[in-house]
Amino acid sequence: MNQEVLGIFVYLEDLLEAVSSIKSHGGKIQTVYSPIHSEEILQAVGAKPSPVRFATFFGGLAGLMGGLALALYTFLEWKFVTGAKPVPPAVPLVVVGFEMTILLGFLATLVGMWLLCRMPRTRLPAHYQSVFSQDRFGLLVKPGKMAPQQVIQLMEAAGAEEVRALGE
Amino acid sequence: MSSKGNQTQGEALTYARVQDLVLGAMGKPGRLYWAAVGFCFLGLLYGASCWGYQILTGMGVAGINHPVNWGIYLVNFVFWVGIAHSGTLISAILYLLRARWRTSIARAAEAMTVFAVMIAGLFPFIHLGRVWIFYWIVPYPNQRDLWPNFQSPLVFDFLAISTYLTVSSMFWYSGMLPDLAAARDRSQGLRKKIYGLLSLGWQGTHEQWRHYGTAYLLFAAFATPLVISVHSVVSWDFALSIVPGWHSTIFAPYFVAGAIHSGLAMVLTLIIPLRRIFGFEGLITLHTLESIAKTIVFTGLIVGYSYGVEYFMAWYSGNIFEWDTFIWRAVGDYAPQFWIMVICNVLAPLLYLFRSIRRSLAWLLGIAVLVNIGMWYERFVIIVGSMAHEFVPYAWGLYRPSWVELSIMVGSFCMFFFLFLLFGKFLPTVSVSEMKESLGPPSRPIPHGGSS
Repeated sequence: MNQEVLGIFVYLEDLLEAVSSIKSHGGKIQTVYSPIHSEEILQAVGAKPSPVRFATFFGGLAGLMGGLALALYTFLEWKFVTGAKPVPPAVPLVVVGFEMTILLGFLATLVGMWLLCRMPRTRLPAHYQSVFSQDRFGLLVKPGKMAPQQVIQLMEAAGAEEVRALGE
Repeated sequence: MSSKGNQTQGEALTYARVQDLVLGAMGKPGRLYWAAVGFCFLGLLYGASCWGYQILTGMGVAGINHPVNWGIYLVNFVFWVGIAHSGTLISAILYLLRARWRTSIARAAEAMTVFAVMIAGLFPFIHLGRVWIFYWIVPYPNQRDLWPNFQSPLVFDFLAISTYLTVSSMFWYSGMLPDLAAARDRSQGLRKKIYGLLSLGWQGTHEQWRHYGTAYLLFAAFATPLVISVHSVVSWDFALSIVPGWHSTIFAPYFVAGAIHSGLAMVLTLIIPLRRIFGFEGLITLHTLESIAKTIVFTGLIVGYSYGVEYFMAWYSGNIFEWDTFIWRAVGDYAPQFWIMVICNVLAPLLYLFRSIRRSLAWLLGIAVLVNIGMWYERFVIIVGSMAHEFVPYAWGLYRPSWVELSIMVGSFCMFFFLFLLFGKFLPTVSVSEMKESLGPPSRPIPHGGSS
C-alpha cells in the first residue's frame, strides 16, 4: 500500500484537474513539481502561508535590538564625547539599528527558507525527473485509501503525459 | 513582459525555448570571449600591481595632498556604489511594483550590483594606505578598549556597504537557485556536479516554491529600504561635514537619484552588447530598453533639478563661501568637468524623449555611455571641487590624479568587466523561471474549428 504514483503533465490545467480529483477520492498529494512558482498549484494542494515570515520577524527584531545594544554599549564603554553631544547620542543609533535590522532580518529569512526547503541537499530523490525544471509538471501521490491503479486512471483521465507506479 | 516581445526570430517563446536560449548561452566559449577575458584580467592585474606599488612605496605616489585629501579613490567609491544601485532598484523595487519589463534584465542588473559593490568596497581600503589594519573599523572587543565611533558617517558607511554587499549577493544567489537547478539538469560531468552543489538540491517542489515565493518577496521588501539608505549614508560622508558644497540637506535624495541614474545607464551599457552577443533579442526586447531609457529621462530630470536647487540654496542662503564655491565650479579650474557633468547627465538623456532615438541601439548605447562619464565627473566635481576651494583663499589648491591613481581606476573597470564576462558565460544571465512565469502556463491547443 506504500506504492507511490508519479504523473508527468505538460499542461498546468491537467495537473490541477488531477490534483483535484485525486484529493476528492482520498488520495494524498505528496509533492507537486513545477518549473515555475504557481499560486494555482499552491491553492490546489491547500498550502498555507509560509512560516518563513516568522524567521524574518524575529531576525529583524534581533538585528534591531542587537544593533542598538552594540552602539549603546560602545558609547557607554568608551565615552568619546564630540562637540558636547550627549552620551549616548540618539541620532546615530537610528542608522546602526536600521542597518542591523535589515542585515539580520534578511539572513534569518535566508536561513529560514533553506531550512524549510530542506536545503542544502546533495542527493535528489530517485523519482526526480530533469524535465521538472524545464517544461513539465510532476505529481507524486500516495494512494492512501485508493488503489494505485485508480490513481493511475485518474491521472491518465486528467491528461497526464506519462504515469508510472514507483516501487515499494 | 509585453506580448510584443515574446518572439524570437519569428519563433514563439515557450518554456523550453526560453531555457534553451538562456542556458544554451552558457555553452563552450569562443576565442573572442577568452581574448576579452584575458584582456580584462591583465588590466585587473595591472591595477592590483599598482596598488601593491602604492602599499610598498607609501601614499605619496597618489596625487592626494592638502587641501584635496579625497581624490579619485573616493570618486570611484561613490561612482561604483552608485552603479550598484540599479540592480536592486530593478530587482527589488520594480518587483514590488510589479513592473514586468524588469524580468528579462533583473539578473544581469543584480550581477552588476554585486560586482560594483565589491569594487566600491575596495576603494576605501585603497584610500586607507595601511590596508592591513582595516579591521580596526570592525566593532569587536580588543585589548586597546577602543571601539569604532558610531557617531561617524564613515562607520555608518562600513555598516551600510557591508550590509548591502551581503544582501545584494544573497538576493542574487537566491533568485538563481531554480535556474542553477535547471542548468544542473541539462549538464553532464563536472558541470553537473558544480551546478548541483550551487543549486543546493533545488527540485521545484510545491513546498520549496511556497517558502521561496514568500522569502523572495521579503528579500525584496528588505532590499528596497536598504538601497535607498546606502547612498543616503554615502552622501552623509559629505553632508555631515561643514565644507562648502557638501553641507546640504538635499544630498541624500540627490545622491540616490544620481545613483539610480548612473546605474540604469550602466545597465544599458552592459545589456545592449549582451543581448546581441547571446542572441537574446527575443528575451530582452526593445520595449525593455525603451523602458530603461524613459526611466533615465526621469532620473536625469531629478538630477538636473538637484543641480539647480544646489545653486538656488547657495544663492538664497547668503552664505558667501557656499556661493563662491558654486560660482567657481561653473567658471573655475574645474569648469570643463562641471559642464561635462551637466551636458552628459541632464541634457544628453533628454534625447531619449524622441522615440526614434529610444529605438536606435546605437543612440541608446551612446547616450548611456555619456551618462556614465557624466556621473563619474559629477562625483569628481562634488568631492574634488569642494575640497579644492574651501573657506580661506590661501588654503585653496588644485588636484590632479597621479598615474598610480588612474591605473588603479583602470584596473577597477577591468575587474568589473572581467567579473561580468565570467558571469555571462558561467551563470544564467536571464532569470529563466521568472521569464517562464511571465509567459503564463502552457495551455492545450484549441482544436481547429472546435468552437465555430
